[in-house]
Amino acid sequence: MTRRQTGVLLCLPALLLLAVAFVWPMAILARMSLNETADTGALVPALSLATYTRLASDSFTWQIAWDSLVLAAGSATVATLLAYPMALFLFRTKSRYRNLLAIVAIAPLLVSGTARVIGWMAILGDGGMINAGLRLLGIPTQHLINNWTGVRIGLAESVMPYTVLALLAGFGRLDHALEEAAATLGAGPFFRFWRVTLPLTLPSVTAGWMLGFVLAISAFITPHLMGGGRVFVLATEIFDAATQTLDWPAAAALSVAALAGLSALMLLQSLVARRGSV
Amino acid sequence: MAYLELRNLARSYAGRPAVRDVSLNVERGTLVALLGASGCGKTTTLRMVAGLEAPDAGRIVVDGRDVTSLAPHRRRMGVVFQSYALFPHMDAAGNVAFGIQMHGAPRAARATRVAEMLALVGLSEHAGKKPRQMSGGQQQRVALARALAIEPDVLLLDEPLSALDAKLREDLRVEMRAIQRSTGATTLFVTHDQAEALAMADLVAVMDAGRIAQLGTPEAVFERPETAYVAAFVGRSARFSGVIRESRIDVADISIAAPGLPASGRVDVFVRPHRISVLRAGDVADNTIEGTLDAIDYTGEVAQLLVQSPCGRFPVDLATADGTWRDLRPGDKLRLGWHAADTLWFEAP
Repeated sequence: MTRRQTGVLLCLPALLLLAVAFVWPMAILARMSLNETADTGALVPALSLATYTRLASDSFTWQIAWDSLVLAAGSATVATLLAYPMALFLFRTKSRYRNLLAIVAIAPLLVSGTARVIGWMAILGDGGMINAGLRLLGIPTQHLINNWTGVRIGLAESVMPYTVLALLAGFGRLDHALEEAAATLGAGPFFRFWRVTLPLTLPSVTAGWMLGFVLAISAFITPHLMGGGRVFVLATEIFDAATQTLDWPAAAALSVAALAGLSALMLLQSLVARRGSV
Repeated sequence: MAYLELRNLARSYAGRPAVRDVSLNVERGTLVALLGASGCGKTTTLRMVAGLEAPDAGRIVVDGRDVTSLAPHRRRMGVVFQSYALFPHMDAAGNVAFGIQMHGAPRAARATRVAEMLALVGLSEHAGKKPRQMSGGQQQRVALARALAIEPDVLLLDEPLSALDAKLREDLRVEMRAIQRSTGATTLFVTHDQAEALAMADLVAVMDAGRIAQLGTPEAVFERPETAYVAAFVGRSARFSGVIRESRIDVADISIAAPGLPASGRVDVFVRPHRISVLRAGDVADNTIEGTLDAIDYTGEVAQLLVQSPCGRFPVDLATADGTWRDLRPGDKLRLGWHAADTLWFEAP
């Protein structure tokens, strides 16, 4: 058996699973998006782009697409900024508690999304910990949940563990001797970070951010529960179209368009990353 | 007063001492080698001088200034790391420029200095190459140029040649020594390779278990080792253990003549293989030993013989220039001899 054949064989189980669990449903989804919806709301089998044109001509579609992008980018940025120092510390520490710390860092993954949101409600709610504290200090209380702020906080927190993992995986290139070399050449802590550590970890920062972005833009539970019905993003809109208004072609068309848009973004990112790699 | 002084340095890791008590003076412009097996504390010593490890005890003094508690970036130590630690995202010129930039040289002066340094190591044409586009030898030169570019108070070399293959190692050894001499850099050089230490250093400090076992010229540590450890570590030897009797050393069925023996005691005997000669019928020597030739390996300048005797198996180096090695076959009975003065002995522990 040639090396190539071995490779194909090794990938086969995963490819089969993907075909059954992803490609096939996506095909159904794509087909569904080409159907039409009658004025009565009834599904009309067709092969047209009518649903797409209907959605594209609706400014609300563009508004939620833009809001989703901004929300996901913001949450991914906050998550990356918070995750970077943590990942750097985890990467460098020689503490015997390193593994324990790493588990703590990704512990949120062990809790169901719903439970996490309920936890946030206890903290951010109008009668929650933070507002209770503000009241105690005589500071006006803030609306921290059931709005965009709440969703932003919740999303940043929920994607951060993934960002930490992505960063840690990319830090392998960072050899401690490089920072030592920079120090012996006269670079203080700031220049060591700015000239050596940061440039060498930048590819994993982009990868971590991208992962956070993709997860945030496709998140449903957090915007749905922490938005209090006031936050409209692509995922909630698709859910509503599919389950509330029962406009399946619209739900399918939005999904396909979102998938295409995200794929294009990721392709662009990988092209840029390849050009910028050392 | 010495330019670089290490005074009673000590350092332990998790209760295990790596460096016990190292004191060493390095004169301005000289190259001192720290030679020892892995784990002897030589690299820890170097890292303490660089400021990358803090000593538990002791002082580091450069030109009369105590630098013990200074951070590495305030010390002006040029370090060539074993892995070179070149910045992978910068080209050769960028690597060399880094330290000059950090020391705040004006842009014009910086460019001149980078060009000078690259020329010094013969890499002017490779200024724009990234480390991964260069060979190991070229990377090593960039690392040296980068360390020298900051006009360091002390140049610290941590096994700088160990990652290179044998031939290149010898060439670069000569080249590095020439560059060190021409720049007058006071240098501390860590190596486990005794040939490297002997060839390059003005003084060799042989380290053993966190201490300096002997400090001396290359010739002194090789010809006149002060401890059995140094004799065993630097160079190869025929080794016997014996007992002193009537001002000679009894080993199995022979009696060895050696200079300056005490009245009694157990001793370990070392004789350098190239000091032992194969005796022909009628030849006499201060010390003779008979044995059977086990193996003979031609290595170029010498043929390495392995001889089995009642005192044990030992190596003999036979110069190949006269061609006598060609007549020897494994199994031959040989009579070997050496001068009494070539017998190195140490009281057994």
